[in-house]
Amino acid sequence: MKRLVLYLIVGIASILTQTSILPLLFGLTLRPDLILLLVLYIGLNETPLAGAFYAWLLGCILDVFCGTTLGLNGMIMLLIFCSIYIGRRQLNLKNDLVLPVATVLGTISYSLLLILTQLCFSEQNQNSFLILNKLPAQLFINLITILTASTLLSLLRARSHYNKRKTSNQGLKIWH
Amino acid sequence: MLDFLKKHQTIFLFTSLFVCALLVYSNSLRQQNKTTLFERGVLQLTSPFYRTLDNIKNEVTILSDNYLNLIDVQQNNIILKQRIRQQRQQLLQLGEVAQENSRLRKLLNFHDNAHAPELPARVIAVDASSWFRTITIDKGANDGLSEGLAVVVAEGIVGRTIKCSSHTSRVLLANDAASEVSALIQHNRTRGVARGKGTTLTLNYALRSKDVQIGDAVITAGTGGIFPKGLPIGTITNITKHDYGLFQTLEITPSVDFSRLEDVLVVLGEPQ
Repeated sequence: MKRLVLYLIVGIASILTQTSILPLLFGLTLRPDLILLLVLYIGLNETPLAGAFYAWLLGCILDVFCGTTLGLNGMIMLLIFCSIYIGRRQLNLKNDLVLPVATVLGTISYSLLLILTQLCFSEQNQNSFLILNKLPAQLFINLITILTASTLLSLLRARSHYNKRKTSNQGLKIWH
Repeated sequence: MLDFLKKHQTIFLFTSLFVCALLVYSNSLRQQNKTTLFERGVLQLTSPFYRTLDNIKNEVTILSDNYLNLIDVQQNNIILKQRIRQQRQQLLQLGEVAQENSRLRKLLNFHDNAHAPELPARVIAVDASSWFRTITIDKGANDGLSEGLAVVVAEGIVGRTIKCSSHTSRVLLANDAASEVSALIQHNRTRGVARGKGTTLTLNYALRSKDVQIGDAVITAGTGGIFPKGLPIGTITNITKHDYGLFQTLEITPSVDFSRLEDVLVVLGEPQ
């Protein structure tokens, strides 16, 4: 339950950033897919049932702020989660390259699934060219975002680890 | 059997979840013009955050604008005074035209459709993705908004409301691929359907035999039931005539700059 609330808060904060703050900085053309990146992270770290539910829910929340049909992104995010979950068994998750590679594959899969879904279920064929045109730029910005985020996270982890060691050392000195 | 299910339980789980997600999506496809409880709830939940962010953004903009305005205020003053003189002259001429127009309307017993109630709204957010074209405005069902209302600015049409919560609404822009507007070319009244294409629009189903020129103005036809008649959509910038077929395809550059929308007007209900 704690995790669900945490992912919901992070997801809504990401959407608020994506729809309200980032357009001021980057304009309407280029923005990172923060929910997609969050789903990729969930795919690499969560159990199948909980992870699939989180991915679908986050996709549905994204649908409220994106496009016209509820469930489109929910379905795509669920498929991306399933692919990542099945693929992660073959990977060494401690490798630093896993997340960037997952981002590249995830972004490409997201665009292709979006085109495929629209071709199969709706009449918005003209969007396909737009999505394909923007794919390289989207790939680049998603990659930059994930690299920046993972660097910041590892710095924070290293700092907290250092602080913990410092406190335990002080504790030992007092004991002696 | 149980062993087989246990062995492939993840695959079965993913397949059943996918079927559920597909059902939700296909159900939403049939009810695109309705705002579901889930959508209303999420929009309601996020509206205070959007308002706070919008207020902060406004404060920062006002501060920076005030500073920048002070730099060349004197020069702007001179230019504006000149413009006022020119526009006073234009206003006199327009007054004459309006009087003549109302006389002719009375003569022809036209129904005056210029007084449809309008509600001003602020744009507080844009679409989360880069390919769909929607915006979120700060007015909702509590202000009298519902799905399927026309949204306009002085330059022309913006789009129509698609989802409404109590305090916010989402607007599908005219340049989105899902948007279709019944249109006509102003000078020769050629009818067609203006469909969004990302940055521009295309006018489909315009008869090939009709003479259309680059630069012709395209306006709303008023037959779709959403937009009032005569609102500007854009101008024709490209004409494609294939070797065969009944129709020609025309590219329209919208008269509204969709990337700089800040304040819009929602046309409430039927014209009085």
